[in-house]
Amino acid sequence: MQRRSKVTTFGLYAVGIIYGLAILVPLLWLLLLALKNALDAFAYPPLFIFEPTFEHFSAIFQDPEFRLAFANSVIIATGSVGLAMLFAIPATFAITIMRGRARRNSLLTILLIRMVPGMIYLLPYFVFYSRIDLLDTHIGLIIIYLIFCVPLIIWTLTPVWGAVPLELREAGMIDGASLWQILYLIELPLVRIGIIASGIVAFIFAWNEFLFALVITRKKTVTLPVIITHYMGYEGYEWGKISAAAVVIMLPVVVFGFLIQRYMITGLTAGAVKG
Amino acid sequence: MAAYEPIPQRAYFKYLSPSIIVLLLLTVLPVLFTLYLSTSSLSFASPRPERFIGLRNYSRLLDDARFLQSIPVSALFIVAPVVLQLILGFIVAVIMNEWLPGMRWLRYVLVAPMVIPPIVTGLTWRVMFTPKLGSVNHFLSLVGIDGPSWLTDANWALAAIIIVAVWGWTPFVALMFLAAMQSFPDELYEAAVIDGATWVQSVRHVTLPLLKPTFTFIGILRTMEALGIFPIIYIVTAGGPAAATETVNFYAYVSGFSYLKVGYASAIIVVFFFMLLLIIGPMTRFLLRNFQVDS
Repeated sequence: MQRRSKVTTFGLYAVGIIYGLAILVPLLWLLLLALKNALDAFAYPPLFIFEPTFEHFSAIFQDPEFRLAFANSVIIATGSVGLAMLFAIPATFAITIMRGRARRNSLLTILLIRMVPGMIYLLPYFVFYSRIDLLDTHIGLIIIYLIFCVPLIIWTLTPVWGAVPLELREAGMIDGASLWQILYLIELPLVRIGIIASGIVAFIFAWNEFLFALVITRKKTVTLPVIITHYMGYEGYEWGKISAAAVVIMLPVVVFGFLIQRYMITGLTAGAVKG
Repeated sequence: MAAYEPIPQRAYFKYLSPSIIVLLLLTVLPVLFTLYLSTSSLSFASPRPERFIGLRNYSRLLDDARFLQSIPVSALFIVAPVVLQLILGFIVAVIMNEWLPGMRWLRYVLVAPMVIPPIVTGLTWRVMFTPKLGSVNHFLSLVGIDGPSWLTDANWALAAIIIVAVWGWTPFVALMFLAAMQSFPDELYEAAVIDGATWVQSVRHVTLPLLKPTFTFIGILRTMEALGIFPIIYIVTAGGPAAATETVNFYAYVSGFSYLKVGYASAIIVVFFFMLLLIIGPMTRFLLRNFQVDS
């Protein structure tokens, strides 16, 4: 690498630090708000040092609706990942043998399906579900999330699985294993890191999803992103509860994000796409 | 050596087909159903049974000022954030690619906006823009700027949404660029040094040209996703003030679920779908012609 001038180096540091702060400060602000009482929250100029309170966190965890939403989010996100895996694992197993045009077309088609804005599907699912009584059910939402989770898993898993040598399959055949046994007994254990990483990517999607959850759920199956909007009611916004709930929702996905940072880049699109 | 049959390609068909079939069923059928709904009078607000009304929903759209206004808003919310994300993402990627001592934290910080729920991104900024509660205007006042009323002034509300979109998706763009940059051969940079290039020149004449295909690919992906921007608008401005920040798909949501006019909202969705095809169609053709996915 070239020697940078001192001015350039200073400029790089300055922009990098300002950018990093621009990302961090709003999030820390939200965290502080969750720890402030109602009076401190609206103090001006804003308070950076104050007596922290955990009243909002205990308030939301005492709220039965919030606890239900937490359980629903866990059920729906886990269910979506589980069901999507049943489809995505065999599909990825097949994609790894593809080469050239067939491989590219399959992967890009799968990517495009995920890219289509959910709004396109929202109304028909709402009307259809209302007629077959799937509104406000876990499985109703899980089925819709397949549209997004299956492509996400395939895209994250494909590069990991691509590293497993294809000769393994021929060797398995010689030993008399069926293709299914090769997938299940030989290769699946080899790609378990990929399974975990892609499962987390899909989990994050389902955990975060708002649009379908807002419309398809009513009372029984309301998820966390939707419950927050309940604190933005007609009698005013309960900012303490809103910010505390926001912190609780993002905590698990931020932790997951750090764990699988490397895989997320390939999963969200592809480090493997070249011009 | 034992005789065995090599695995024929078609043996894999039954492994791939369930995914393809399920994905097609779950996506194509709803689109067809929307086409049907868009020609009906279905409304959950009216007790009358639905009936076929031909293209009347569509002709009504042409006179709907609120719908017509949502089209340029959609265009703005695609073009402005994507352009800014690409520029800022490139700058941030260049900075990270220098591996400056003491700047490692930046790549960890970048993960947060990528994984937090869009609804939380929206809330965070709703708070930041709210007078007293938030701090955008407080920080602006520290450098002597009198901050605008972000959420009640139509133009500033548009700017607010763009800022949130740039905040939310620049990290993804930056990390994608960084991943690409790390695959560039060192020899090119060494050659640039021998030719006497300065650091700025080597970024300009080596990094940037090599990054061009990635720019295109990420630009296309971001454009597609930008079309679907919803939770942020829902939380930060709720489409206001006076529908100033309402995109086509947001207006479809309002028509369908606030006004309960399902037929009419379906017509909006169909128009939205064709706008999508208009944008995605050429992009897909471009991707198929110019890109390869390697193993």
